[in-house]
Amino acid sequence: MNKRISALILAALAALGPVIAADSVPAIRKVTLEEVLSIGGTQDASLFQWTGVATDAAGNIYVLDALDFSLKKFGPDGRFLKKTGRKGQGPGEFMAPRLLACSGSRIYATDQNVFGIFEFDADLGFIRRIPCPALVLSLRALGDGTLAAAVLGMPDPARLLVMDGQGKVLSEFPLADPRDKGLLLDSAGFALDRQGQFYIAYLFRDRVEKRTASGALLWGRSYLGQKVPATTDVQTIALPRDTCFKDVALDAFGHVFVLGGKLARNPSRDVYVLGADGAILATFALPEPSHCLHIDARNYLYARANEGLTLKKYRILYD
Amino acid sequence: MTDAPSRRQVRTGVILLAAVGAFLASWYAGTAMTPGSPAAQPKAACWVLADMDSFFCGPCLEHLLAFFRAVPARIQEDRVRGILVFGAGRTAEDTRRRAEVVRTKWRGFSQANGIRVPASVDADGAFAGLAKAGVGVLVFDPKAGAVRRFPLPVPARALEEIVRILVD
Repeated sequence: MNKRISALILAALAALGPVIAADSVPAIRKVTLEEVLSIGGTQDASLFQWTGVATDAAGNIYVLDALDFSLKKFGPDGRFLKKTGRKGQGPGEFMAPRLLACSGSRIYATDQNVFGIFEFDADLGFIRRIPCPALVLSLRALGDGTLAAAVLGMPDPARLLVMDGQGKVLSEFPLADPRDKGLLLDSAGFALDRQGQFYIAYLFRDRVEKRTASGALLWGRSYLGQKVPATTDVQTIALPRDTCFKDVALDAFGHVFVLGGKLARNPSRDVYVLGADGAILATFALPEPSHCLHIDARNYLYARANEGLTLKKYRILYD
Repeated sequence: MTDAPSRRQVRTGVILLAAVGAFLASWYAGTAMTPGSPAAQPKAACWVLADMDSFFCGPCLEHLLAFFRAVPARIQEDRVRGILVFGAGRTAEDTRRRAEVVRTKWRGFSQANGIRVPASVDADGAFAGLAKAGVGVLVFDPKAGAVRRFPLPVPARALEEIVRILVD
């Protein structure tokens, strides 16, 4: 299928609504990217080291920046609109801003050094800190005001929590594999499909899983040929050394986009496009290494460039 | 009885006097700059090696910030210089691009945190070897006549000592 036509169809489908029936998904053999927007760079002072990105229904782009401890908002055209935050532990302040998620008119942010999820309105006004029992590894805002978060274990196993807007845990399941013997091997990112099923990609284990809403394993697969996770000693503590999968996101068709880590052929650039059954449909490489992937409701993909100075927005083209 | 000096002789005399005065002035200045005299006492100085490749590491940023928070702004401007160290790219062009990235990141980081230290990018990797041994702070202590190295994070006691050296 012609790339532009398929992109237009996708855009039209996205405009009609976010739901695309899985059985309407055409088979894909190849995925490529076309850059449509670039924010930040060495010539301006928009971004310095962005960490988290989220988008709202209007196409506004929200970005967390770890070097100036801020949350920034850009319009759909990339124009800078607003900024909030500074270093600190007060309301709306950050120590190490990390993850972002958006649902309706609410923006949710996490801090690598602080328990809890910070809630902001669409004008970047700080609302409150939602309690969370552990540091958040991965965060998704669900449409109904609930949040899903993978949280760090130590000494308990990492868990995947579904919480209401007050931080009350509605359901949870452990991410640990009984075979895991090392620290941090249960660190993972995740994405949710429209049926509420989880796709989980492990940071230091060569494993991607699909689980039901209650955590039952539907399938688990390896893609990188890792036998045993290599470790490195940090002050006599053995920590995993090589990243396997850095992030996972779903496109509008329900394809699973998994970003490979250090063990990928093109480290931090290779993206494996999986079907709902885990089969690899296509593989492509981002133009530059990225630490995360985000796909918005209009099926645009966002990734890092210039070592965090730049955020790139791409149209996804399917063949 | 002597003849009055001619106008030409007066002009020559003035020029000679000016020349001698200039010589004496320069000699005095030279004497003043001689090592050992009070005016020549070299000032304390400090160089901060910042590993820009570890700027993704939250605790590493925190260590740098802790150091800058301890040094008064006036001293930062006068006595401290940042050296931004980074790994070379695969090509010369890539290294130049990385140098620009590093410069921009430092700008954002320093502005957001009130850091007043002028910093230079180690574009040719002159400090790469030193940085490999561990980034940190180099302090020239004029009283000891020595350069001392403090790895990051600088313990509180050492931090006090550095500030004392820089302020004295």
